[in-house]
Amino acid sequence: MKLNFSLTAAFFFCWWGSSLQAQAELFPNPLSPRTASYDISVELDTTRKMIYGQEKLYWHNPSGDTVRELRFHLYYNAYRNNYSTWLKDSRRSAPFIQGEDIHQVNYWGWSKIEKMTDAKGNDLTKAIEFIQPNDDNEHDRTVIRVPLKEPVLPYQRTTVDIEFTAKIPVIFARTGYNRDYYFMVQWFPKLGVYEPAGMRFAKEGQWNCHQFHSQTEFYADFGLYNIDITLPANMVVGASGVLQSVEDKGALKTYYYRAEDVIDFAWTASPGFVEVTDKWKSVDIRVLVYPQHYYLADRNIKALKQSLEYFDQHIGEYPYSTLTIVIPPLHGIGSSGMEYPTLITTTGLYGIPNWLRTPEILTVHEFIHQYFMQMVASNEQEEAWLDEGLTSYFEGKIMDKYYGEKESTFEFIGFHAGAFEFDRGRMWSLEHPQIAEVARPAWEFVHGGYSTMSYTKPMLWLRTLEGLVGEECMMNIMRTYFQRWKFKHPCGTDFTDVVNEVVKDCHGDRFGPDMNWFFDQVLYGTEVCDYAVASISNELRKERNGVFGADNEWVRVEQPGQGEVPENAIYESEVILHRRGDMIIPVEVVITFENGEQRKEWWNGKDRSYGYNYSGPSKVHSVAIDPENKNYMDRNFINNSLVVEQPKTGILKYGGIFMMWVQNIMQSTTFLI
Amino acid sequence: MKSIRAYFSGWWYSFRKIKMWAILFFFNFLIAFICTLPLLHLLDERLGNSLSLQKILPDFDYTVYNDIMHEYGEGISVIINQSWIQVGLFFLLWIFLTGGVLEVFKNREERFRFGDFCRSCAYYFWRIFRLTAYFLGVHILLFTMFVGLFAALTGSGPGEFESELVLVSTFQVLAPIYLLLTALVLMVQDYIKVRIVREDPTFLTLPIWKSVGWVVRNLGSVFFLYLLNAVGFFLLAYAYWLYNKTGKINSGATLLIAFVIGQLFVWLRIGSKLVNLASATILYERSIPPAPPASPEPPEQA
Repeated sequence: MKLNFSLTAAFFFCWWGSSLQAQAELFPNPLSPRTASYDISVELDTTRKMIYGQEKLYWHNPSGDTVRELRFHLYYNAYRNNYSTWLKDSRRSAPFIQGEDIHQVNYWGWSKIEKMTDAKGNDLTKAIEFIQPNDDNEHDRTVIRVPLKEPVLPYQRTTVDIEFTAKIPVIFARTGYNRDYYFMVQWFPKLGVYEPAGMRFAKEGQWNCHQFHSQTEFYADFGLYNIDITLPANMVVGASGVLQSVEDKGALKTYYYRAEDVIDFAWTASPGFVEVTDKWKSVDIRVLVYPQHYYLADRNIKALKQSLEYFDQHIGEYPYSTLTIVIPPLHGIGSSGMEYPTLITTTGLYGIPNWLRTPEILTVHEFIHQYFMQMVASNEQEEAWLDEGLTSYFEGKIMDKYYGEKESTFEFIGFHAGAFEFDRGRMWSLEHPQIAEVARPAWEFVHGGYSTMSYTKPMLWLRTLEGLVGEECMMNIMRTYFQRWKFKHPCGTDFTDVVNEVVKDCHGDRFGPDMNWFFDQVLYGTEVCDYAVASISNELRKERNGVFGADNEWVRVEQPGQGEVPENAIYESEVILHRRGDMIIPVEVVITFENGEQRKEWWNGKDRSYGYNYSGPSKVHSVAIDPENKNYMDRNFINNSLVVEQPKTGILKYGGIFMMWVQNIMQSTTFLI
Repeated sequence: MKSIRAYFSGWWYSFRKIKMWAILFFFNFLIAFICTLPLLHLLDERLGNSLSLQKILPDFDYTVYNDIMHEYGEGISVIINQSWIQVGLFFLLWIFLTGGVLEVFKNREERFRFGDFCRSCAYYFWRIFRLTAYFLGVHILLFTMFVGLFAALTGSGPGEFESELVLVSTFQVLAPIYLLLTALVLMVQDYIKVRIVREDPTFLTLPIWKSVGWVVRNLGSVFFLYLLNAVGFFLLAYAYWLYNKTGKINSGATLLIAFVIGQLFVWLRIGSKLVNLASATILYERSIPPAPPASPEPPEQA
């Protein structure tokens, strides 16, 4: 048995090595553990909107467990019928896709495994079983369980051959076709992630392979992808990884791609694409764009280069040699704003003005995902905040740095907003900003809040954390997290552990033994923060009057009259602060006196009501809690400060503007008389 | 030439009726001021003693704007909703005033008398009101037709478009046609009002048809005059936009200057409306054939 195994293993490794050498290596030293790798040949049938694929999966059991089954995602089955979990979820989260088109046959998509065999040629097809680990929805066929005839022994490798077909859906979310535009993601049977005991939340070895929900994204292992795509010769193709060669086959062409140390492989094709190329250091930038959006290519490239530069300086090197930006046509708009290894999509709309920075924001955001969820491959399904939140935070940092803190989202006829302030506005304008806590699996945001809790709120509390610990310390946190967890699968506590460690290095015990008090509120809690200055009082110190001391000395000094201010007057001032929300964040308080003197206090923010008393020759003029607005969790900055008296010019200005608007609207109506 | 003369005469007579102009401005100012007072009070109460106020003086500040809206937005919504009602009331008031304005321009050589002006406003009110209602219907119909046509030519969802250029090119073709037809309707509407005041008919059917015919017969000069009025208005708006773009309000003095210039703009806007009505009256009068001489009275019977 042992001999047999050794022979098999020797044969396997020879074959494994030779098969992977078929295409040139990109990274001589692997960056990742390369747990799940794929060789796939796929043919696109543009008439029937089908793909036909041959897939060979190479899987390395990363655990000390004997694994007796494999689990795969068949994502395209999410579009198989309107009872799939994806479609049922989306009735609440994306009702716009429930139009009449649903009744057209071509609308639907599905994925089917025609044949599956193991390394020894055993047919596994008949044993395939659809399972629904999340919701027991019998109509959902997005996950399969494949019992193996030969179990995979600890730390051993295996291969599986799969023959599959898939019907491509009309694009309404992320993938599919419309007219001659194809955007192909999650298109092949894709292995789940086997988590050994102790990895992330796994108490024992287990498959992590969730159903496809409308709000969830993806989670996969790192690997090599050798993909060849055969399609009509007039198509312009873009894909993850590096194009190795193109073979002309008359009316068809085959493109050979290789991607290393990535978690997924996406590709797109259309005869309508125009290609724009550029370079940043050793990264080949390629933009695939329709002619009507050609003018956007420069804007996207500029934003991409800025992002590459920022990450290179602050976090770590972008190791891949390519990055493709796809700007989908309007009829493929459902595939906009997505991220895949070395391939991202932004949005294109004819005439998007320069003052509206949506293309830049999307480019920056989707690029950042190359770091957070692509290289640091957290589970987007279970902890969407861990990639979307960090990505949104850096999106805000980059946009505000390169496009202005007050103008990076839009800037039009005097109205403008920066990235962080725009998202803060979105967050606190919600009817119910406490709808759910951030740390929750994406599919459990059943009553809404997924987007705010996964993107916006983490973005804001990360900015608040930066305000507390300082930008340098924050970048240190992010850099440490990236360097420690790149090409691995961290979970939320891995991130918070890094924060606790780095903050301690930077500030000692200034914020307590750790920062968990912060995460308990912002990550696991739903508290809202609102600090306010309640009052300022300034009173002349009263002269001593009455009986004082042990000798019962009688003191009587005449008090100044009403409105009289004696020379060398001393004022007793009191400032009262309120904590109106439930969240506790330490804040700086700045007290300004009439003579211009300033006092800075550090309030731990815990008491519901807290006061400062001052005695001196000058009255308190104003008080500001968090004067630099570093605490983005505070829902109302207006009540953060109080001034005893100030000119009202600002109020008159906006009153005047409002009046002008009313006058002009009234006058405009007279056109109709 | 007829149109140019009518246009400049319109300005001339509008300036000569400056009292009437001032009355119209007064109503506009008063109603807007009434709308604004509660807003000033609300802002003062919520923002008056906050340092945030200093942030919004030199420039628009999204953070302050947003905090006001989500914390005190209910109060602002009430003020805005109430303002819409007042805009509606102003619309009715302007219908009322239009008859008086046209009567003043009909008798433009006479001195302006406030009492006569009010009497004329009341006298023509119902007819101008009915006319406005009919033409509102026409405008809604026209707009609906063009929106329908646009949707039919382009499709109704992003997935259906070959490219958004289809939307742009369709819009580029349809929008000028729509604007032209709307302008034509507005022209007809202007001359019906002039006719109502000149001929004092009880029913509107006849003046409507007669005005359509008259506008068609004099389309060149009517259209040119309309164009002059429109260009005058757009030049005025452009000048004000340029000022707004460059002028910064960051102190009491700059605020006062901005307010005065803003009011001057509204004053001239009202003036441009008066010029429109005056020039239409003048053009109409100069285009109709002079009335036949009165027939001699029959000799008294011996």
